[in-house]
Amino acid sequence: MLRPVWSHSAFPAGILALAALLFALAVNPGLLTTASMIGWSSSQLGLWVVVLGQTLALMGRGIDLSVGAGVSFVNVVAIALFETGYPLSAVILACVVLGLAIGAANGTLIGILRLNPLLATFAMSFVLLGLTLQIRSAPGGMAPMEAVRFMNGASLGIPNAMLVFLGVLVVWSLIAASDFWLKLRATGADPQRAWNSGLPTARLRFASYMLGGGFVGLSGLFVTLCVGAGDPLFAQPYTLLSIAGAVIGGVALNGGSGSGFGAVLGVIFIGLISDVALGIGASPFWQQLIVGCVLLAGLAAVVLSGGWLKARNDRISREMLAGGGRT
Amino acid sequence: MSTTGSGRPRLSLAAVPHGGSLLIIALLCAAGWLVKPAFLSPMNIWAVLAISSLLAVASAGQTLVIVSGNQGIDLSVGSIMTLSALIVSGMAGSSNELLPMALGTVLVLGIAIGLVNGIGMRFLGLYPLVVTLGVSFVVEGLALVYAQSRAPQMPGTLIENIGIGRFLGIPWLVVICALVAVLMTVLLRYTRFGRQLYLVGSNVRAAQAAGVPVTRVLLLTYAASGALAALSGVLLYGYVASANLSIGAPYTMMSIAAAVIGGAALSGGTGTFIGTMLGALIFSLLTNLLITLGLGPALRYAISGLVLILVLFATSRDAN
Repeated sequence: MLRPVWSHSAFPAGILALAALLFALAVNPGLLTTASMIGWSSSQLGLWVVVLGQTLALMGRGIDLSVGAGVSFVNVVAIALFETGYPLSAVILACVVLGLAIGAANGTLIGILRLNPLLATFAMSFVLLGLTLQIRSAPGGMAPMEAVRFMNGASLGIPNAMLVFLGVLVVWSLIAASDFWLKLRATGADPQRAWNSGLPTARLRFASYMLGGGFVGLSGLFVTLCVGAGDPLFAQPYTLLSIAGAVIGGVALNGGSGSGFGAVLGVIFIGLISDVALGIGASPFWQQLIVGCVLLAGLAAVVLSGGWLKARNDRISREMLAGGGRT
Repeated sequence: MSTTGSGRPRLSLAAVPHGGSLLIIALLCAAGWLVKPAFLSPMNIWAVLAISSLLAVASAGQTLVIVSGNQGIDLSVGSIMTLSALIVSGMAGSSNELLPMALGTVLVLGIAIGLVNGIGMRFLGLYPLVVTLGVSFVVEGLALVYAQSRAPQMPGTLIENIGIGRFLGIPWLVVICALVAVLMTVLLRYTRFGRQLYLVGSNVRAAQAAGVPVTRVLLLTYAASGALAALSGVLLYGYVASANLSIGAPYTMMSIAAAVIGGAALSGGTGTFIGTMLGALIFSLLTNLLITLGLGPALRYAISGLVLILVLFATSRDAN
C-alpha cells in the first residue's frame, strides 16, 4: 500500500515550516532576497547540520546532550589551528576527525559501556565545555577571510551556505539509504528484539554516535567559517534546540522512527519563528516567550498528530488482517 | 521492561544501602584531606553541606518525577528556579514584609507550571522530556519578560539570612534540607501517596488495574516538582544574593544527575531522597575538592565531567 504523503513523519514539520515561512514572508517580504537569505542561512547552518547528528543519536534510542559543547569545542580548536597557521584543508580534516572522536567517546560510553545516554552525554558536555574554556575563555580569534567571505557569499543568487548544506544533505541521504540506517532503526525501535535477531546492537549504537559526532564536527567547522571567530559558548543553545527541532521534525524520542529531513524542517521552523517574532515588532524581551509558546505548541501538535497517525495505521492494518486475511 | 536475566552479579557494596555513594564520598573526603587538611575543617564541611543542601532540595522534585516513571523527567526545574528567584527579587525587593506574599506567589506559580507538565504528560500523552523541555522554553521567556523592567535588587535580610546565615551554628540551608528530607522520606515511605508513586513508577498498568488513581498521583508529582523547584529558586536567590537570567539553568541536569547517582533509575519505580542527597553531596564535594586543588573553572568542568562518568559507571548502568 502506498502511504499517503501526510502520513510521513516529517509531514507536520513540513506544514509548520511552510506556515512559518509564509508568515515570515508576510511580515518581511524581503526575506527571499539573496542578501537576507545569506544572513539567514549562514547564521542557521550550524544548527541545521548538528540536528542531523542529534537525529542519529535519537534514532538508536539515545540522545546527545553534548552537541552544543561539542560544536563549541570544534569551533575553538579550529580557530586555534588557524592561528597556528594551518591551511584550510587541514583544518577541515581536523574538524571532522575531532567530531568523529567526540562521537566515538560518546559511543563508547553508551554503546559499549552501556551508560545512560542522557547522563553520559551530559557528563561529556562538562568535559567538552571545560576543554573549550581551557583553549579560549572569551570570544575572539579569526578564521581566514576568504573562507568567511565565501560562506557569507552567494553563487548565482543562491547563498553558498545553502549550497554547502545541500552537500551535507547528500551525505545524509547516503547514510539514510544504507543498510546501517535500517539496522539502527531496528535497534532503536526495539533493542531487545533487534539483539535477538542477531543485530550487533552495541556496535550499531556506537556507530550512530560516532557518525553523529561527524556532523557535530562539520557543524563546528561551519560555525567557525560563518562567524569567523571562536566563541566558547556560542553553540550552547544547539543542544536543546536540536532535540526540540528533531522532535518537531517527527523523530521519535524512543527511537526507531523519523527522518533527518524532518529534523532539518523542525529546526528551520524554530529559526523562522524567531524571525517572525522579531519581524512583528515584538520587543526582544517578549521574543523568547513567543518563541517558547510556539515551540511548546509545535512539540505538542507534532507528537499528538504522530500518536493519532499511529493509532490510525494500527487500526487500518488490523482491519486489513480481519477482512480477507490478505497481507 | 524485559531485562531477561542478563543481569550481571552486583558488587557486594550494593548490599549496604547507598554503599557506592558513601564509598565515593569517603574517597573524596580522604583525597581532600590529603591535599589540604583544612578540607575537613568544620567551616569547609558546613560550606560544602550548605551548597549540597541547595542542590538536594532542587533535586527533591526531580526525584519524585523520576520515581514516577513512564519516562518521567523534569527539564523545567532550572528555568522554574530562575523565574522564582527573579520574582522574589522583584516582588519583595529588600523588604522582609513582602516576602511571604512573594513566596506564596512563586509556590503557586511553581505548582501551576508543574501541573502544565503533568497535564501535558498524562492527558496529552506527550513524553515528559518533550513537554518539560517545551515548558522550560516558555518559562525562560516569562523570566525574560519579567526581568526586563526591573533593576537588580539586593535581597532582604530575611532571605539573605536563609541563604547564608546559620541557625544554632548550622547553616539554614542545611536545616531546610533536613526538613525536606524528613518530609520526603515520610512521604515516600509511609504515606499512601508514596506507595502509589512507586507502584505507578514500576508498572503503570498494574497500578491502574490495582485501582491506584494514576492520574492524580502523576499530576500531584509534577505539581510537587514545580513547587519544590520554586522553593529552591528562592533558596538559591538567598545564597547567591542576586538573581539573573541564568542562575537556575545548571540545576536542571545536576538535579537529574544527583537523583540518578543516588540510585533513582530513569526507568522509574526506584529511588529515595536520601540517595539523592548523597548524590548532591558527591557533586558538591567534587567541586570543592577541585577548587581546593587550585584548578580554574575550565579544568574543573572537564574533571567533574570525567568523574561524573566514573561515578555513573560505578553506580548506574543501563540494564539493556
